[in-house]
Amino acid sequence: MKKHRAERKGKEALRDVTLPFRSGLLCIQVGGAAQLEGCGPVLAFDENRLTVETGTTLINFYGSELTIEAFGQKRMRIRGSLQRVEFESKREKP
Amino acid sequence: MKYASWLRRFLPDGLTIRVQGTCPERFLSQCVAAGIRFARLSPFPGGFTARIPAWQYRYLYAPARQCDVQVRIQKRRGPGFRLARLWRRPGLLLGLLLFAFIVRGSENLLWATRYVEIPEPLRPQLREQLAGCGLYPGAWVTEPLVRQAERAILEQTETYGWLGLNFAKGRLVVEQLPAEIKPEEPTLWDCNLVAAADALVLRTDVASGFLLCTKGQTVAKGDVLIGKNRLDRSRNLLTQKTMGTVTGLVQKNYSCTQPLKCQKPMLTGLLWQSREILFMGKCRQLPGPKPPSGLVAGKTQTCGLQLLGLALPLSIRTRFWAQKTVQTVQLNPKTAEQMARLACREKLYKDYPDAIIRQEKWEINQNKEEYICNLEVLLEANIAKPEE
Repeated sequence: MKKHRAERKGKEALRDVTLPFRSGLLCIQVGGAAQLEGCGPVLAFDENRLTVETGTTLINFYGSELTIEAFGQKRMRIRGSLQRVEFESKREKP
Repeated sequence: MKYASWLRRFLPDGLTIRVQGTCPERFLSQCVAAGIRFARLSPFPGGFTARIPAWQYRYLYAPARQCDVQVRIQKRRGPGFRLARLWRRPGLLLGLLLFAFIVRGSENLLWATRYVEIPEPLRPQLREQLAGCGLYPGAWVTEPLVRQAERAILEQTETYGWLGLNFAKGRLVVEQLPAEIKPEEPTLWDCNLVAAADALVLRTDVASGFLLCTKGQTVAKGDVLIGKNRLDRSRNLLTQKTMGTVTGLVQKNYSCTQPLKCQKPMLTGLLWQSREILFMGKCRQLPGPKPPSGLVAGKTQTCGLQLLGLALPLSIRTRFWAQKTVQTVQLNPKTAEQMARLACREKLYKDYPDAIIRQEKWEINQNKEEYICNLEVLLEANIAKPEE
């Protein structure tokens, strides 16, 4: 029984470790383009700001003339002149 | 319609849509979750524009209703939309089908003629002969007509040793081989050959029959030169057909008179041409001014119509006419003398086509109204002719 409990604990620990990988991958090119994999719904979108939900994190892209080059299943390519990227935990949000 | 929308998935058709409403971001997220792919999203206050595959447009209806946004199509692009535009204009497709049907149906019409290895100077005459046999651009061609024309042209002219006409899919291909000149075969006669005139026999060449004269013999007109019958030693009658030549030296006199004033039909210099359209065996005269009187038919020219270098199944036949009137012609003395001499020679060669003139003596007498020409000639010619 003890052995089984130890195995179960190990699996839970492994699940926690893999969680950040499942939530997404962000790739930013020098010059302004960015690619985001594992993205969720878009929460805000205008010329200067784009907010995307990825699992437990909200990513805010700030810049000017922001456009989404392509947007499919959990994958997004952003163009424009990026100035700042902010990561925000959803749990921290009031 | 189901099949049409399924087929559209395989066409690279795209739509540019404009989304406007209270919550366009939610609409975008719902659409992406439903599997719609967006491209070139660019925002504007209160909405965005984007490109989507055309076949996915119908999946936007439900999210648009839920999120209370307005979706408008700004632009359609792709081959499917172009085809749909054509589909809405059936006249174009119908015209294409009609054209294909006409071309297929008019395969028996003669559109163009191709001459293979036929020298350029022979072509106009051959074209006229073909037109005379009913083979001109615009004619309805059948196999018997082609074969009939082939035979007719070969009979008409001796220029061609062989003439081949092949008609396939609107084109007539004409091929020929020039005729080889064969020596004339001498005729076998079933009668005696007699002397055509008093003559001195120079040479004899008998192929069949019995020779009854010898070289150096003088013969009178009507004497038998090559006989048909002969008795053998047993007094039996031998019969053979006759063939051969007997060359003799003949003396002849010819006399011709040429009046200085004569009435002859002469060309006035007025030329006239009439045109007619030929199509499928029918002929229609093109309108034109009325022809003057006294016209004599001359050459005929048939040519196919062309449009920007493409042959059409239509022909135009041009007939040339010349005006002739009977006029009194006053000949000058030199011309009259030449014409009198020519008439004498024509008579001579009519009597002896193979004549070789040894000696000739001309005597010309002139009075006020005419020229009289006398020719005394010593000639060498074949004098054997069949007995009448």
